[in-house]
Amino acid sequence: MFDIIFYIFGAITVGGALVTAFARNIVYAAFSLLFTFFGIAGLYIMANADFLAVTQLLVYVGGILILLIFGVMLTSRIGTVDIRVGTGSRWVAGIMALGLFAILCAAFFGTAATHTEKSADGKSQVVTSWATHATRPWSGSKWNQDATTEALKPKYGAPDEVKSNEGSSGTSVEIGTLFLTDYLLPFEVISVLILVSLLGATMIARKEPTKEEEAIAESVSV
Amino acid sequence: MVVEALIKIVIVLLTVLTAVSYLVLLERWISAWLQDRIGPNRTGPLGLFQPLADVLKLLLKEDIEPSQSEKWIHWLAPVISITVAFSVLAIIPFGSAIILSGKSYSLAIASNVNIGVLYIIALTSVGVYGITLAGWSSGSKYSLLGGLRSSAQMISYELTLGLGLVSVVMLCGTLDLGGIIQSQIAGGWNIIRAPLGFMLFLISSFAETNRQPFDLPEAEPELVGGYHTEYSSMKFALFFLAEYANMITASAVMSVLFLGGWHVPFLNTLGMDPSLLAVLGILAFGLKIFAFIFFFMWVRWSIPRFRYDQLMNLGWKVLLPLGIINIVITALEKTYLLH
Amino acid sequence: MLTNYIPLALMMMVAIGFGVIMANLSKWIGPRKPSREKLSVYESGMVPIGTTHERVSVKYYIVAMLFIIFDIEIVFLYPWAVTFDKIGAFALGEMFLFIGLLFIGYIYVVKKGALEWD
Repeated sequence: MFDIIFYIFGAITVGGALVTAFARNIVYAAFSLLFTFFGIAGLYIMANADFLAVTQLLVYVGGILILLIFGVMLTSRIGTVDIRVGTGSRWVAGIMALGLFAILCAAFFGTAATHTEKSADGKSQVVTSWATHATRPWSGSKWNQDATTEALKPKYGAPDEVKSNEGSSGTSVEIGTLFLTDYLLPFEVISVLILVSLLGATMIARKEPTKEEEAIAESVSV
Repeated sequence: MVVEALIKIVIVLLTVLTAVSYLVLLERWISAWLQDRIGPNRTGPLGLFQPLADVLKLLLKEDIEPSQSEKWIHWLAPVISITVAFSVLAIIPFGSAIILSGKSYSLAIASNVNIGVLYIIALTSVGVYGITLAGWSSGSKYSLLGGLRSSAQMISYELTLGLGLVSVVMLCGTLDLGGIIQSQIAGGWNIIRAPLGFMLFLISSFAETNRQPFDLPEAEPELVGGYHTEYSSMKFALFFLAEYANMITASAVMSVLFLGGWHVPFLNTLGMDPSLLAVLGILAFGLKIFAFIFFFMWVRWSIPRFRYDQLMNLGWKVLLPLGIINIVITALEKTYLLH
Repeated sequence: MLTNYIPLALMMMVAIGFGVIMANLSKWIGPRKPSREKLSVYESGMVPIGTTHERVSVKYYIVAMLFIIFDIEIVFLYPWAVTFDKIGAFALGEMFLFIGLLFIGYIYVVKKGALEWD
């Protein structure tokens, strides 16, 4: 069943992207990105990357797409402009897209996935396999935590005695631990990066206006 | 499992729909009471059939699509609003697990969802679209301004909401709502452990649900109806429903995060029957939700609306730094005080 | 683990179904007598002037821009918040560095006046 859901999410993602690429109206193009982002969030969930899925919604849907839509709204009468480009650049774009697709295919088929398997005599051994049905995250790979969840299900008893399902915080705990241990430097570098983008955004946002510009701004302010 | 989930969904949705229709009546009664009027009292005994009449009226009204509107998005916007408002309800635990004929049932539609509270925040950020798109697609200036204001307001206060939530996650060490309640049972309610976080969350909830004094998106004197100026009949009702459903959800989320959800202090020491305890827990949770809703309504009819620059200043210059400071305080508290 | 999300997906589908049916209900059972005046946009009873999609103030765009930056910061705070007391005082110091840098940025933004809504 999860295979079908996977393909539905895939179809939503690709469909949204196609509308974005081919829509005549820029607002529809921006809006259909919403479906693409949703589809991608769904795919992340399928891969058991729950924190990533939420981040996808928070940052892309809740932030970047809003920014895009504001940008569209800020531009006067852009809704009626035909944004499709001439056929000249289509060929270049097509070749680039095909090239990217080839690289992605190479990466996909070149990545060997490993998982632990119990052999017949009871010893566990690491098995290397290509991306096949067995390595799909939702069909019995090492990321499948159904057993853990089962063990942590609420137990019998009075309300206050019911066991909490602590430990089922998913990937966010692992990500947090890794941030504070192995990947500490990147983590702190991120804060510098965010700081720089904050400063940059402020510079763009608040260019000290000249007297002339101020006068114009006053006369046309909404 | 699917059947169990569907049964829970139907129960929750029916409860919420009934609650919403009577909350509208309650709000009218409260407003009448606070303004020394009588309020609706003609439809049925005490006006109790008023919600029915309201729904019927909205249902039988003409569905008007303005000629300048973008039809497809105009139709989609209320659907997005209501979908988001209902979807959040899925992870709220309405009580502790109950046992029926030897089997344990959790009282949340979706329990054990690892992302828990982040799901609420993520859906809140999607909720902006309903209002923004409604404003943009209507083709009316009032709607557009209302939608724009609303989206800027909602994203601004989402930051404060998120910061308030971080302090809860720090105290409880889990993202799971059930786990957060358990942590509060063990270590005291979060309203005591993080009072500043509660205040931030409460204020942001008013802004996120577009309730007075933050109802700038539909400030009647300047924007007529705001983003739903061009909506009529059932589509308008959907926005209305979404607003009240959001209020219920916000109250439920606040009860879970800060008031211990279905937990009643010292009740388990009385040695009562577990099933009776479970029922009392559900009732306590309902009471907490109702207290918050009453507070929402009380504030609405008592406090005047903000001006837009005041609203933005409050969000960005007061609440945002307070939220960051709150995280530092909570971190120190958790590390040195609670250990 | 993935099965935990099935009720969530069901809830969303039911909610979408409810919304779709309700949004169409009045269209099906309500009266339908459109006229040119009725379908024109509301502008306090006047004949609408100009188009709706005029340019709006750039300030909304700036708010959205700043929002994304702070939103990303908060997203990074959650994994830390879940784990910080398991790692100890070291994690506290790391996070204060992270938050401190951002607070400097925030003060710069305020001092530059990017948050003025005038």
